[in-house]
Amino acid sequence: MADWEVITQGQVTGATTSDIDFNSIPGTYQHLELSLSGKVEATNWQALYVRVNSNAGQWGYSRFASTQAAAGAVSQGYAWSNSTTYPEAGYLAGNNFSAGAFGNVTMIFPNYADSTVPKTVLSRAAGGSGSYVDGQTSAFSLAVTDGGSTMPAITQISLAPYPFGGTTYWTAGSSYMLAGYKG
Amino acid sequence: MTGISAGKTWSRIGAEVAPTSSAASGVWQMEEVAENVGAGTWPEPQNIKYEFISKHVADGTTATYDFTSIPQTYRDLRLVISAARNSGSDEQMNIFVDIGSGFDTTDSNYGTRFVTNSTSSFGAMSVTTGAKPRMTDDFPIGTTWSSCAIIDFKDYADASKFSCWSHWQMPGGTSQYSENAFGGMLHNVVGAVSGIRVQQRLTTSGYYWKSPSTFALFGLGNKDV
Repeated sequence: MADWEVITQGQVTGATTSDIDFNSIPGTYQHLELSLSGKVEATNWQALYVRVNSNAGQWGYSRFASTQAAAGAVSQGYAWSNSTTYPEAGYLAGNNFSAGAFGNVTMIFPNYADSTVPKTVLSRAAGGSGSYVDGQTSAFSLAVTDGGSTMPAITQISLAPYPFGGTTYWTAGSSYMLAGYKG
Repeated sequence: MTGISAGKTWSRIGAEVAPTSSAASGVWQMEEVAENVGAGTWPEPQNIKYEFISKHVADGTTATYDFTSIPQTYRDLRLVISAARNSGSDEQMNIFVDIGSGFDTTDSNYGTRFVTNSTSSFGAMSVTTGAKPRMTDDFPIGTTWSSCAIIDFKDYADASKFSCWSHWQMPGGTSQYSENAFGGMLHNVVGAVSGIRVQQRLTTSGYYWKSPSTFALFGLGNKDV
């Protein structure tokens, strides 16, 4: 048995995929790692949102990111919300960018199957529209609870440009991979 | 008998079903498996991949190390670095890629953007960008301590995409730290990455990678089919 395994991976092939869903995630790993090469059918840079367990609970995030200026200040932010808003986890390339431009995102979900603790996510992202990385390179930390100090094991993850189930679709060629670390 | 039936893809009765890159449907004799493995037509395991590809350990005599003939069978690459330099002032590290026609060493074909802290205990972070394939100013920072970084290349074998990689670095060590940073780099020509070069911007002897700086390359997952 390997210590790191691909759980599932794939590529968006059509033009009407609004959510990338990872369903029935087994609880047999210690941590999850999610890799994304993503682009969406909207213009300019688009925020990536993450949702777990089709969650109706509470979410919070804290992040810092580059601005899109040639150089300058770092933008930082945080939010805590109920189910109406989901946490940002990075930035994706828009369809008005060069054909080869895709956002690059890595997420780690530590102890995702431990139902006695809140869940956290670490995410980092970068990408360029054409000649250089002009997207918002970013680092995010996300916290997820289910209205309290604990949350059930994560068995489902969705990624989408907001909103989930909406009409902003993933561009064909966007690819994803979910892997598990044995503990 | 269970497992034997005419007309099934796994049956030995009827036409043989040739293996594809992702599946080998059918019942196979040992000789057939060996034949296809030898021919490179037997599919890779689908769910087990975090493999070491190769590593360079610096001997202190060069500022350049190349990873060449990178297999095109993984989805992602991860380069893990622990490094220092022989002498000289703080310097930058270049990452050049080969997408099939040799290493592209033209700075303007790359772009970088990173967020870094200041060297003050308190104060603003900053963003730096440029048309060059470089890590922050101080990587590696020192001669007697190591700088470290993790660099992830996504979907590197997809020839329709720009190669794009994110990096997370900490140049620091004993009694000194500087420019803890994360960011990304982009090569603005589409093509699958078959080679990666790590090189000091200045290549005179003072900037040679100090022994035992290490550069380890791993492959993650399987290339999408």
